Amino acid sequence: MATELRLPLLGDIMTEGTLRRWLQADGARVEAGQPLYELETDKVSFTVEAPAAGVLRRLVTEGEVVQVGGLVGRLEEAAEAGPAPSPEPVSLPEPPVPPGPASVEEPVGPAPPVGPARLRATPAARRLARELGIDLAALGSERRLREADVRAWQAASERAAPEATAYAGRRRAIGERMVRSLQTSAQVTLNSEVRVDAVLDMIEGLNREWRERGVVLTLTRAVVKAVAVALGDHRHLNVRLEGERIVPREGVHVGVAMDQEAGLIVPVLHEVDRMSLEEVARELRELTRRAEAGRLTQADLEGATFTVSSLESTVVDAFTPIVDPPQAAVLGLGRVREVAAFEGSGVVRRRVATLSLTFDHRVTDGAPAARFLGRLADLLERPYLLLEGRR
Amino acid sequence: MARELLFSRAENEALRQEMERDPTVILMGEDVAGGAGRADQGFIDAWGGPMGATKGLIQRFGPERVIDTPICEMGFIGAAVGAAVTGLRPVAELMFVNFVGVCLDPIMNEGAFLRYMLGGQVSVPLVIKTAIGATGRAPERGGGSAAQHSGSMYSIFAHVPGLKCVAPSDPYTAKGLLIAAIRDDDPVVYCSHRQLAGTKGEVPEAPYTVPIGKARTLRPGRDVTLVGIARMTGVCLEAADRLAGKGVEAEVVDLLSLSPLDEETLVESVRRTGHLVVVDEDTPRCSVARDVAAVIADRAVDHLDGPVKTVTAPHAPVPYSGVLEAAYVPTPEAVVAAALATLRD
Amino acid sequence: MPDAAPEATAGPDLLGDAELLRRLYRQMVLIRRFEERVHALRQSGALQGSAHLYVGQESVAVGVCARLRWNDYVASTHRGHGHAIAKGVDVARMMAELFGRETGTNHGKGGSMHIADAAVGMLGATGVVGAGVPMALGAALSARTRGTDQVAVAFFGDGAMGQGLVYECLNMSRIWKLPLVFVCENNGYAESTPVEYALGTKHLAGRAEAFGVPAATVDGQDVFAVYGEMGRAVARARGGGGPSFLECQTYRYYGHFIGDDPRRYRTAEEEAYYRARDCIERFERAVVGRGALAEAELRAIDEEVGRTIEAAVRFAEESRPPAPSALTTDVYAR
Repeated sequence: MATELRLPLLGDIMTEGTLRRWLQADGARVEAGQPLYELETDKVSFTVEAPAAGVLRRLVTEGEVVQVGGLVGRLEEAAEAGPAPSPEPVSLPEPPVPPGPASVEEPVGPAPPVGPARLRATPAARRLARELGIDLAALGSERRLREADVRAWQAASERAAPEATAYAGRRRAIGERMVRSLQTSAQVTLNSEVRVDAVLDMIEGLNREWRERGVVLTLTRAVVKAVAVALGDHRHLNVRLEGERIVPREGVHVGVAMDQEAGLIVPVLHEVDRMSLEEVARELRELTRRAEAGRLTQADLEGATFTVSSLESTVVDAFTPIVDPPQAAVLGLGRVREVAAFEGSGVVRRRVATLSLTFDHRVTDGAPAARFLGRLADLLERPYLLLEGRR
Repeated sequence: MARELLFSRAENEALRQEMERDPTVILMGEDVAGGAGRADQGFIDAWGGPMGATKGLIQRFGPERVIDTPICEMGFIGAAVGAAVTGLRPVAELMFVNFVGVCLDPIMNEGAFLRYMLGGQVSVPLVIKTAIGATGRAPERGGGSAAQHSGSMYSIFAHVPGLKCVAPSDPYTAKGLLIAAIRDDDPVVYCSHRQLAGTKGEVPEAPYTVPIGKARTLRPGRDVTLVGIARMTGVCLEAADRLAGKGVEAEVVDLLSLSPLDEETLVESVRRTGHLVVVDEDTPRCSVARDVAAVIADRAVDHLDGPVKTVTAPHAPVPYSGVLEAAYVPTPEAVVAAALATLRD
Repeated sequence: MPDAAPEATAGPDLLGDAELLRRLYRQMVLIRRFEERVHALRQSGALQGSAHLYVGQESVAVGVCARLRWNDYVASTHRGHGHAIAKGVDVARMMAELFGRETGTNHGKGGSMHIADAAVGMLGATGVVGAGVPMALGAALSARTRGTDQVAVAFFGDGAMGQGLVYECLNMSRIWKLPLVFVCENNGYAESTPVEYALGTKHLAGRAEAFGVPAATVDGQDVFAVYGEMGRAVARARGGGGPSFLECQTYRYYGHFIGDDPRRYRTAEEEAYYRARDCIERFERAVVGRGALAEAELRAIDEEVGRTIEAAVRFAEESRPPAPSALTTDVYAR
């Protein structure tokens, strides 16, 4: 009796996945729990383990995209894995045959792990690649990679003209979701320029206080906290549109968009409403580290009603973010700018940033959304309000 | 004004100045003066040691402090240990390092271990001054001094806890290290390369020390670290010149102290250059060169941008034939090749 | 100092053995010509390797080895050319060794200080003073254990009498009654250090006797005296009587090594005294003076030896140096 291997569902919005790499040879005998293959979705990489013991029969090749529930292989019992041995003793004086079903080409039993040949790189090259976040495998070389190779690759990739690449994998997944979002929802974007002098001063002060604790606060992290506070007051945006129902969400769960080599990824900071500002800063840092290390779990990617997308560290002043259904809204944060402003009859220097709130008009209307945005602006202009509240 | 001195005269000056400064310093060994007992016939100081490094000392300090011994290394080096623990600072000359085969016991089991075994009750302020190295004679003119008189072998001493071991590379370090060795309260083996004895260099006249346990960087460079020991430091400098012609900036570190080992200087250099070549005239197994390589593998591995190379003698005794001896000793060509190999492999 | 230079002390039995006389003479002259040629090669710069010359002491090696069979053992010293020639090592291959050539006795790896030829019982020489003595003791032990009647000879100098292991060997040879002859060549100097400084007593034979080893002191510049005393020692060894100790009082004409000027530690008068007792001249006076051999016969031997030495130099010069690959061969048996 064979065990069928079907592509597992890893998240609520997953529809397909790429079988990136088989970890066992075709025909290999595997035990339950042994790693079988690497599955890559638009958000995560995941190692699928053998659900039972058996001899592996692969049915798809590495790199193939498979629908959720699609058959990728089978785990067969030993007897059905090959031609059955002859039931009768052979009487002719033939050369002895090895007993059992073993075939010459495909050894039965634990096979050595398959995969690319071990990458050769000097320790210094590995260290630099680690520091720059470069996957050495991308450099691929016959000889041992050196530090200079990594530097050259980095320099080249920074100035390289874009090459045509396949519209596939995470890139395609992101693209198709964005298209689907725009085609199936009614998105409206509201912009508001808010003063950030006070919040930036507070951030600077807190960072001095918190240095010993290893906590770093940024404007983006403060905005996430402000969003959580504001969502508590504006429940109409703390919802998910699931099919025919608008479902309110317990607690506040905020997605935070992060830019990665392979494309956008949006891990979720859960239960932000229960966190102090310091905890938000700390937890976001940890989430960022996990994302960089490729160690996000499926739970890290699910359950948000709202996303913060920050271009704070870029030259962008304002932009139109796209809602990621079934979420209700997304907030864009532009860079901090200095502007001249009237204060009484005088002109003063002021630091401002533009908040861009895109919401799905199917779940709420313009006026409440504007009030939500106004509350956000208020929280950032009187940032001590971020220090109170629930723990 | 800088004053030039022969390597062997720099050693001589170190001994003379220390014997003047400290009446407990004595010198003993085979033919450290020579022609012993014949002052009445007008013979005094016939040899002054095999390289002439101790010449003139007996006239200055007399036979009570410059003591010719019979040929009995085990006996007189054992006696030097005994004298060291009872108030003297003996400098015992082991004519060639290979003769350690005759007297490793007093050097190791007594000299090196005594302080530890006795729970720190005694110190052993002893210097073993010995000659190392191949002869470097012309390859086509017969040969050198063969296996029993041309070894380097300092790895034996570096291996023994309680012993210190230094190897100068020029007249300046010869004088400074010898004085430092005499003033040190532990047994120090001072290794003097026979081919350096006749080289000249700047040597300050006043007494000074070169610290034991410190390497020195003779030439800065950013591409590869060349570590030299004794005469091999000069070989490294020559190799660095040739590498410069190929656009490679080599840093040359003169190890000087084989035990204790200056790990910081080595690690710091390799962290900058990412490449290491250690050049050692000793044989390779369990050698100082491989020890340096191990330190780097342990403490600077993330900065290595190529394999660590050691350029050493082969795992063989020193041959007599000049042709073979020339092939035995590391050359600048071999160092250049090793540097290019770690940079380009 | 100089009393009249004595003749060699040949008795009538020896003077009657013309073949032995020719052999003793030829070997002494062969050693001397070989050493003088090496000296000349070093002076001319043609050779650079370390070498310690045996000139002056020829009668010791020749007198001792004339009593040995081809398969008896000899362990030698850094001053070993004479021992090797007297034991029958080919001078052409020795010369090639000094030239560092592949055809040398040690294939160029050992040089002057380590000449060996196992085929004639020449165990080789060590440059570590005294270290050859236990080697010979081991050879004697081996011979007795294997049940042969081979005898072993340990050559060493007065300098080695400072080394403790020589006394360890005297003791072992006596308690095991080994077929071993200790031949101490007292040439007056350990490197530059005079024997009267380095040794507390001149009576070296007494040291051996203290261990129970029969000992004798002979005039090492008299080949007949050495030959005679060695005859008794070898007979004792081969007959199961155990070890003997022979102090041969001799003199080296040159310095400790080529390049050492002995006048830094000894007088011209002292040198003249010993040169007046030169072993070859004494031999010739005794043998020719008593009509045992004709002078023409000796001159013929001189010429033949001269040709042999020149042929040896040519052989060495024409031989190839070892291939660089030889550097790491013979480090291990396999």
